[in-house]
Amino acid sequence: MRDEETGSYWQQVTGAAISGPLKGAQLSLVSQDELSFALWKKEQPNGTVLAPLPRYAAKYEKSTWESEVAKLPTVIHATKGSLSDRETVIGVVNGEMAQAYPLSKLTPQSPVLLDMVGGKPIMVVLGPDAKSVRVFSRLIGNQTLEFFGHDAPWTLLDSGANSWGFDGCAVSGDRKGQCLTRIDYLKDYWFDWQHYHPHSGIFHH
Amino acid sequence: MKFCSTLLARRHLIILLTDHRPRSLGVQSFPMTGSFAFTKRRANKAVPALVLLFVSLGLLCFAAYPIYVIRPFREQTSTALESALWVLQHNKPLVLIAASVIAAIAILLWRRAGWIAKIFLIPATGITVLAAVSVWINPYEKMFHPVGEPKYLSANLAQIDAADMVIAVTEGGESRAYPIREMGYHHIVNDRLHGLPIVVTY
Repeated sequence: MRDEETGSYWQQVTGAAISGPLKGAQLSLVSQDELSFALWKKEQPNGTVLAPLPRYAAKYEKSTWESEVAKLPTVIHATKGSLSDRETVIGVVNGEMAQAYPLSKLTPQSPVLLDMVGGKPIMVVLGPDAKSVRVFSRLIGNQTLEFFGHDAPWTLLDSGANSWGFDGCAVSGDRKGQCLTRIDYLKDYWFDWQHYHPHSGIFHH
Repeated sequence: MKFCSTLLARRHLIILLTDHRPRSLGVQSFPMTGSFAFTKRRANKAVPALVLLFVSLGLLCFAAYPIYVIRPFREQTSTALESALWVLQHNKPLVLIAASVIAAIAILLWRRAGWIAKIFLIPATGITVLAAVSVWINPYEKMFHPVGEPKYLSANLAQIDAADMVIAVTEGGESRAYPIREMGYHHIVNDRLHGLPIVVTY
């Protein structure tokens, strides 16, 4: 990316300026969500959506874009790890530690992955739409909670029988009203994630 | 790049040859035969003109270097990328100065140029103009159509499929969704959410 004001060049995936007057500067990552439109609309009924540009709308990606891109060769290849280049992973970073969670490990029957990244207890959760993913810290106060989930209907429970919503807030039980901290992640292809995080682990359970 | 580096090497060779050629002492010192005078006129300034042609090709290589390095679907090493971006940020003044010098020399040579020299000077000028114009155009930026001034639809009016993925940002209670099928085309949108200036990229 290039900024108009100084002509500096910025790396899209890291937000770092790599050339020009602002070389070395770093953009701050804004907390964001990647989720299905239906789920977002349910959570944010008063939200706004970026409108299509009529001039280009016919050229927008088709709904099948992901399966088509999955067939394309990659420019570079992952140098290690047992995942294929185009395996989609949920990438989480904590300080120097990085971990990749293959998206294929999240299923409606097994929608919760529990793990530790750099000493931080986290969980990766597949939402009720079987498409959206969120990552939360399992530390609340100074207690680490253990979670498990199942489907039909989608339910997220902790070992204290509290029921949690996909927004990370408890809807019933003693902890009703308490909310878990959201953790940012990058949904990426393994070859790219491994390129920027050469020491990343892969979640295996 | 192999062509360009061979080209630059050849230019050096020609300059060496030119420097070592014995100078002519003027038409009066030599017996004037018709064929000799014809040869001299035809070949007048041919070598400098050829040199200028190679210089103009070298300039075009310099101007085209970033386009070569930053081609899509190709890995860039960090050193190549750094130099390509440096060229991209300094090419306008450097290329314009070089092009002006080449054009001035071409004009000076033209008056005394034989037709062989003119055959070299015409493309030399054309290539120089091409190089000078090319620094104002980045074909890769032309390929992309970023969202200029973003417009919005309310959640219940937006025509997005239920299963389409969106990038959602919430700031100060305001939430905005950027559909990935749209962002995958535009790649970048400069926006403001609840006063916070953000850039959304995909």
